[in-house]
Amino acid sequence: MKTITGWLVTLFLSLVLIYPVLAAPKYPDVEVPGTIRVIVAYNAGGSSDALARVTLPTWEKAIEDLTGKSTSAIVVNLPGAGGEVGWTSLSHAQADGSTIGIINLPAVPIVQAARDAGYEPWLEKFTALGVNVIDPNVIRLGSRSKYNTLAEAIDAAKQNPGSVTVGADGPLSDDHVAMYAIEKATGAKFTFIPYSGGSPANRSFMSGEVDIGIGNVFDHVKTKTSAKEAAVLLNDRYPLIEDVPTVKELLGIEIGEFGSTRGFAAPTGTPEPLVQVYREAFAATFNDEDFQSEAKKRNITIVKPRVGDEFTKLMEENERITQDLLQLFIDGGFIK
Amino acid sequence: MLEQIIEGALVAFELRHILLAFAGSVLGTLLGALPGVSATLGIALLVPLTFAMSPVAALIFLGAVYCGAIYGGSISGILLNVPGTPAAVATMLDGYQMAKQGKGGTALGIDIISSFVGGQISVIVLLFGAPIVAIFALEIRSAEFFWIVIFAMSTVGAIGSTSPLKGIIAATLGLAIGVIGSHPMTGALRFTFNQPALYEGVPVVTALVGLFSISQVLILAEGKGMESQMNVPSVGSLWPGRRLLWQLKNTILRSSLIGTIVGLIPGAGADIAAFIGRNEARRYSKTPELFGKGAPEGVAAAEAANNAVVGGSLIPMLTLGIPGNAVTAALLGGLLIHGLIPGPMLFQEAPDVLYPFIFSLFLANLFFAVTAFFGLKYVAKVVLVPQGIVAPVVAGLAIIGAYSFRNMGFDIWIMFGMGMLGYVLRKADYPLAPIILGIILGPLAEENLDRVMTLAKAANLSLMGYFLQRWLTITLMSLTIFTLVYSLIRGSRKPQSATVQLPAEED
Repeated sequence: MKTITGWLVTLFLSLVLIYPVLAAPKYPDVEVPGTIRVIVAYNAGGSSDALARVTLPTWEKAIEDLTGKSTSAIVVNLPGAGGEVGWTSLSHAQADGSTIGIINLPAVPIVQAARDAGYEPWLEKFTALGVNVIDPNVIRLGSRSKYNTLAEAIDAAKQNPGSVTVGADGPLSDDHVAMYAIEKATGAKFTFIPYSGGSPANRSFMSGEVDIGIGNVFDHVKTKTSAKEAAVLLNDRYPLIEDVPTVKELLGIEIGEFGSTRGFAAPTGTPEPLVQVYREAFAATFNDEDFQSEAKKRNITIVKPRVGDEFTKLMEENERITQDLLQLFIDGGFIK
Repeated sequence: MLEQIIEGALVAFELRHILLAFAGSVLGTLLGALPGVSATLGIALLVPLTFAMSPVAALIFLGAVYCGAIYGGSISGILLNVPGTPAAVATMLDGYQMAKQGKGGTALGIDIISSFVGGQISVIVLLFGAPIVAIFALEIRSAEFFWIVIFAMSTVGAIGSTSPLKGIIAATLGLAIGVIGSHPMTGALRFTFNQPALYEGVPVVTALVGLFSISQVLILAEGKGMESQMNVPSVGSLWPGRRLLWQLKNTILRSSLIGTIVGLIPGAGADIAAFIGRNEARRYSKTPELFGKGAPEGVAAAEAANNAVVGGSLIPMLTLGIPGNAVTAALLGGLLIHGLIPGPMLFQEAPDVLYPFIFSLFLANLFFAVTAFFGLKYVAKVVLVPQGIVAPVVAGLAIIGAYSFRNMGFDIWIMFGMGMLGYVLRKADYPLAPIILGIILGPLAEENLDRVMTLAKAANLSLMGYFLQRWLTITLMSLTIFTLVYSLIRGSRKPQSATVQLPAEED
C-alpha cells in the first residue's frame, strides 16, 4: 500500500515537474491582451464573419500555446459603406494588439481608388498577419446565350464592343476586377451588368438575362446546370471544382490569379513581438486539421496559407492590379 | 422538395424552436392587445432581440410575433371598443356590440377560432404556393422585376386605406429617402454628406423603428399618460357552441381565402382584408341588417380574413423580396440582418431556414389560440397598462434597437429624424406604410431600370423596344397602367358611405 502511494506521488510529482518543460511556451515574455477585438467589415452571417468565427477559437488556443497566456478573441461586426466603416475603424484602432481585423481583397484597394477612404493608404495602415482564404473567380457562359463557347463570346466582344453582357455582383467587386482583367488580356470590351449580391446575379445568369456570369466557386456550383462552359481564373485547377479548366487551358490566355481574398491584419504600429506571435498563431491555426475540416464543412474556400511577408506580397500584388485596371474602371464610369 | 418539407417540419418541432414560437406568439398577442402597439411596431421593436439568434430561430420568433399580434389586436377591440391594432377595427364593429349585449365570451371565442382557422389556411397556401411561385420567379428578369415593383407601388394609391393622393405622396417621400446612398449601378454616392453611415442608404430597420415607434411615442405623449384605467368587463364562457360554429363555417372559410389573396397583393394589409372579408360576409348573409349590431358572422369574417393575411403576405416577400405591407417590410429587415436575401433563389439556397419557418407558423397560430382560450383573463389585463409607461418603454427599446443594428451612434439620429417625420405625417393623416415601401422598393426599381437601360443599349434596342420583347413584361406593364387609372378614378370619386375611415397607421 505504502509503496503504491509512494509510486503515485513520485509519478505525480514528476508529471508536475515535466509538464512545464513539455508545454513550455515559446514566447513567455510577450504580454498578450486579455481580449482581442476582431473587426469584420460585414454583417454577422456573411462569409467573412463565418471565417472569423471558425478561425478564432483555434487561434486563441495557439496563442496560449505560444505565450502561456490565455486570451479571448471576440468578433466585432462593423458593416457599412461597402466595408469602409469596418476597415477605417481597424486602421484607427489602438495599435497595441487589442484589435485586429479581416481585410478583404480586392475590395480594400478598390474602395480606396474609388473615393477618399478613411483608411488611406491601406498598404501602410495595415500590417499583414495571415491569409488562407481565396475564393477564386469563375467565368461561365450561360446556356441560353447565343454564343456557343466562351472564346466565341470574347471574339464577339472584340468585333462588336459592348454587345456581350457580363452579369456579376458589383460594381467594384472582385468579379468586376476579374472582368477588366479579362478585357485587358484579350482586348475584348464587355458591358458590365451589376447586381446587388451574388444571389441575384446567379438568378439573372440562370434566367438568360446576361451572356456571361462571373462569380466565385460556389456561384458556379449553384448554377452549374445553366452554364455551357466555365473556366477558373487560377494558374491551376481548384480542388472543389476539379472539372472546371483554368482560363489558360480553355482560352489560352495568361492573366494570373483572381478571386476574393479574406485575410487577417493588424493596424500598423502593433508591437513587433505581438505581430510575431499572432502570425505564428495563424500559421498554426491554418495548419490545424480540425480547423481545416470545420472550414470545409462551412464551404469556406481555403487555400495554401500565406503568413506574414507572403501575405504582404499578396496585398502589394492586389494594389498593383488595382492600379493596372484603374483606367478601365474610370472609362466605365465606375470611378471618377 | 418533399424531403425538404419534412426536414423543415422536424426542425420546427425542435424544443427550442417550439419554445420560441410560443414566446413569440404570446408576446405578439400581448403587444397586439396593447392599444398603440401595432403588429409592425411590435416586430420593429423585437427585431434587435434576434440579432444574436440563428436565422431559423430569428424567423420563427418574428413570424410568431406577427401571427400573435394580428390576433391580439381584436381582444381590446371586442372588450373595450379600442382596437389594439388597425387590423382589429373591422372585428370591433360587431365584436364590441356583442360584448355590450353580454355575449362577450361568445364573441371572443369566435374571434379565437376564426383567427386560428384563417391563419392555418393561409399557412397551408404559403407552404405549397411559395415554392411554386419561386420556381416561376426564377424566370423573372430585370425588366419584369422593375414592373412588378412599379405595380406594387401603384397599388398603394389604388387600395391603400387613406386617400390615393396622400398614399402616393407618402410613397414618393419614401422613394426620395430611398435615393440616399450609393448608386446601385455606378456606386457613386448621393446625399450622403460624407457620413459613412449613409453610404449604403438609410437602413430599413432603423427607418422602420423611427417611423413607427417614435411617432407612436409622441402620439402617446400627447395624452395625460394615465387614462387607460378602464375596467375589463368579465366575460362568460368562451366556447361559442357547436351549432353556432357550424353556421359560421362558410363565412370563416370564405374570409380565410379572401385574406390570403389580399395578403398576396402588395399595398393591402390585414386591415383592408378584414373589411373586405366582412363586406363579403354581409353580402352572403341571410341577415345583413344585423351587421354592426352584434352579428357573429361579422367577427368571424373579419378575424379569419386578417389572420389569413399572414400567410398570403409572406409569399411575395419570400419569393420576390417585395414586401406588400409594413409588417412584412419589418420582417424583411429581420431577414436581411441574418444575411438572407429574399428572392427566388432563397428557396434554393436556404430551404433549411424557410421550411422550418413556415411550419413554425402553424405552431404560432396554435399557441395564440390555446393561450387565449385558457388565459384570456390575464392577456386582457395588458390593456390596463397606462400609456405613461408604454411610451417610455417603447422609446427605450427603439433607441437600443436603432443602435444595436450596426453599432453606429449616427443611426440613433436617423431614427429620431424618421420619427419626427412620421409624427408630422400622422398628424396630417398620411399613411406611414407607403414610406417604408418606398424606401425598400425605390432602390429596387432604380437598380432594375438602370440595368434594363444598360442591357437595352448592349442589345442595340430602345428602352421601350426592350420592354416589348417579352409577354410577361407587357402583361405587367398593362396591369400597372390599369391600377393607376383605377386609383385616379377612385380618387376623383366622392367617398362612399360604405367605406369606413381607417386610422392612418396600417398593418
